[in-house]
Amino acid sequence: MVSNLLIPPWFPPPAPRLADKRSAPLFRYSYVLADGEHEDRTRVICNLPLRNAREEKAFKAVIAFVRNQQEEGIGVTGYTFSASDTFYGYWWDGDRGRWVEDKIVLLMIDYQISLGDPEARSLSEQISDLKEKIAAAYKHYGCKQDEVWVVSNPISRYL
Amino acid sequence: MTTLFRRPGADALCVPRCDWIAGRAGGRSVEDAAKNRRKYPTRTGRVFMPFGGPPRPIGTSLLPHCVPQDGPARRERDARHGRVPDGQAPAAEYGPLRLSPHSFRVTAITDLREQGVPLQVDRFLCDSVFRGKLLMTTSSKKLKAQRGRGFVPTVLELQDDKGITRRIPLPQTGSIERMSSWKRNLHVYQQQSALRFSSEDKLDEFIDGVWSDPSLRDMPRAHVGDNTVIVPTEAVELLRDLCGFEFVDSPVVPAACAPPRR
Repeated sequence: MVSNLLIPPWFPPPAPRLADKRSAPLFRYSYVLADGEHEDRTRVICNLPLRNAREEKAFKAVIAFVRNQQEEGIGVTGYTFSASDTFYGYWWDGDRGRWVEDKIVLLMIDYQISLGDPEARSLSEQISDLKEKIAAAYKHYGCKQDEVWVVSNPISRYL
Repeated sequence: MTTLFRRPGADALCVPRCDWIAGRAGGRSVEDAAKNRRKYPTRTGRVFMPFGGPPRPIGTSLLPHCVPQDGPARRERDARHGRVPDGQAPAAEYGPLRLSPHSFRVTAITDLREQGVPLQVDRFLCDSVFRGKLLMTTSSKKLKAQRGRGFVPTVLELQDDKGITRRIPLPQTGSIERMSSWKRNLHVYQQQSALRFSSEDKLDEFIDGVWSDPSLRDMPRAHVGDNTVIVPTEAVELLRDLCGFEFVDSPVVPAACAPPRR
């Protein structure tokens, strides 16, 4: 049995009114979401190795491909990538039984399509094409990768 | 004056590190010792020194740099070994190419008569002809402006009377690699330029050249598609004139100077 003395008088905090949603605490984000002041997007993050000249050539080919996607009207209006020699990735090579170190460039692309939308299937295809393009670029410049990590996350962009 | 003392459990006497450095660097007074102690601080403040001579502990590689490269000590050393200082020596004293990165002076001597072509320097630095050989130094304002910015020329570009351009690669040694001091972040440089290459092959050649040059490998750059790469503006002239890359450069407007539309 919990004594009333252990419950502070301010608990539970009162729910803010809708008129006060601007001043509502952040953990009550559902009020903001319900009002539609955000848009659903999909963030695709690619871990691209960049350790030598050949991989830099492949990286610039990927960047050129991403920029060309803006013309296809699938919602690619921006991308972000990190500077080289900033991130170090380690992945387990099961065949050789050891950790492999990579110098990684993080490439983040925000698609203006939600994974939950009916068009999510086409977005999934776009992401698959992106991954195939990345693999082809590295292969073209003679630095074929066993695997390139490409993931997608649903995100909400607040307006 | 050096005070010897015995460390607990040690078989040999020890000297304070500041005195040892002062002795190695030619210091004679307590003031020199104090000065060197400020210059080469250590965590322990002491160094183990047996009677057979001081060992060379890890971290004391700064000692040779105490000696100025172009000071009286070097002149004495040159005279002791029968060498003539730079600028006064006949060209035969040197090899075909010579670099002295400490003073950031490049001296390149090529035997023109052996090549059979009366070369004249076209657009590289300043020059003088000594006994039929080409003596090139970097005493021009151009390279002085480049000093300390992480660039080491890798190619000398010469042009003969017929207008034929020759490019002579300069040797890259480990000491030159230390000259690379590019900032890792591109945005540290206030002025940036976009280099647009005529084709993707040209851009690939640029990438190969940058990676093969130790002084350019760490140069910050960003690929923005359309055969264009953004680099610090101070690297544009170096890449074009000395490395021979062909591109069209244009200034990059920083976001802070852009109109507040977004």
